[in-house]
Amino acid sequence: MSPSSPSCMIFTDTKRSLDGYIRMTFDALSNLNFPSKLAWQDEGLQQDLIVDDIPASCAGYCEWATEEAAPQISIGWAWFSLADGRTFVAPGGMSSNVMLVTQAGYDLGMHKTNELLHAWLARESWQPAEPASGAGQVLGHL
Amino acid sequence: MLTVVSGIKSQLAPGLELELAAYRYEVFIQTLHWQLPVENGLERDQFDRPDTLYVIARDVRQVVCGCARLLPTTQAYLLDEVFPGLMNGAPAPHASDVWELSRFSTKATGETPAISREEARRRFCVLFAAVAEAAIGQGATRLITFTAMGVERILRSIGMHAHRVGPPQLIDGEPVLALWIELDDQTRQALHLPLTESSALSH
Repeated sequence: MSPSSPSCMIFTDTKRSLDGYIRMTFDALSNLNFPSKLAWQDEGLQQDLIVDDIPASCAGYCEWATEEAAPQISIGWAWFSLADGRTFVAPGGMSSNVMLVTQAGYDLGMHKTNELLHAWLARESWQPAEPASGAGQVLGHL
Repeated sequence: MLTVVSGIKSQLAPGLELELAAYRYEVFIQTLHWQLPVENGLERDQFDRPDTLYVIARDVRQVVCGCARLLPTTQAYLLDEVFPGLMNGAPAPHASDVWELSRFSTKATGETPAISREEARRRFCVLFAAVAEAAIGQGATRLITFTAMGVERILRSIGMHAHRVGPPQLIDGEPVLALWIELDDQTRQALHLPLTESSALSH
């Protein structure tokens, strides 16, 4: 595809569709810069996971966003850590305002987008640093 | 067992709107400490109007144990009037097929013994299904709402088609984000509601 082809122009732009999704290819997503990276601990989430038989020693949320010019691309996920320090994405999957599309512009759908967001995250360094105590406390920028 | 009713104030049983306002006070003011208008132990605001559509759940004792509020976005509504900054730079919607969901709760109040987690999850789904049915009955194809992070996770865990508008922002010290909830077949299936006619015909 040439850089000046119409589909390339559409799907590397962060334009919002009428349904609220920002549509882009996986390639475009993986080239984005996320200057805003927040992580915080949430004791309520930890308790919810424990009730669901997940032995979370701590848990919380991560939120990444592109630069502040609207529309910002927003990707978030819940996480939990085990007592040995290993950290995982919590059930519930990835949350975003992105719909991934094919190079031809067809929606991949919510489930495939979610799977690809997991794949994208697997290549990123996202695990929160040493968790601070206290519900809702921001752990800091990653 | 839950019974769920929906309607505007004039359609509700006598006294039910008062019970609802008292339940909302207990949940949103006393438990969640939201900064909302209060009068005599009742929680109501300017969006509780004659055309506001309520969905109310009651338990076996007929005590209110869940609620939701639906507002047409063709009239004034909470997100547009009070929290437009959650829309990530987009104008808040104004369309007959978009309704706003607010004041959703299935929090049990003063119940003995406390309900199980399974029962809490079941109540959440039952009330949400009733909300979706009520909104669809008004011609809605989508809901716009704003909520805490945990609710977004629950909606997606259930399998509903919910997607955020933009990044969360702090409101009263808590991260809150705006969400679209599509009342499509994915959400209907997650809530065990009948699928759309076009989908049913294709099978």
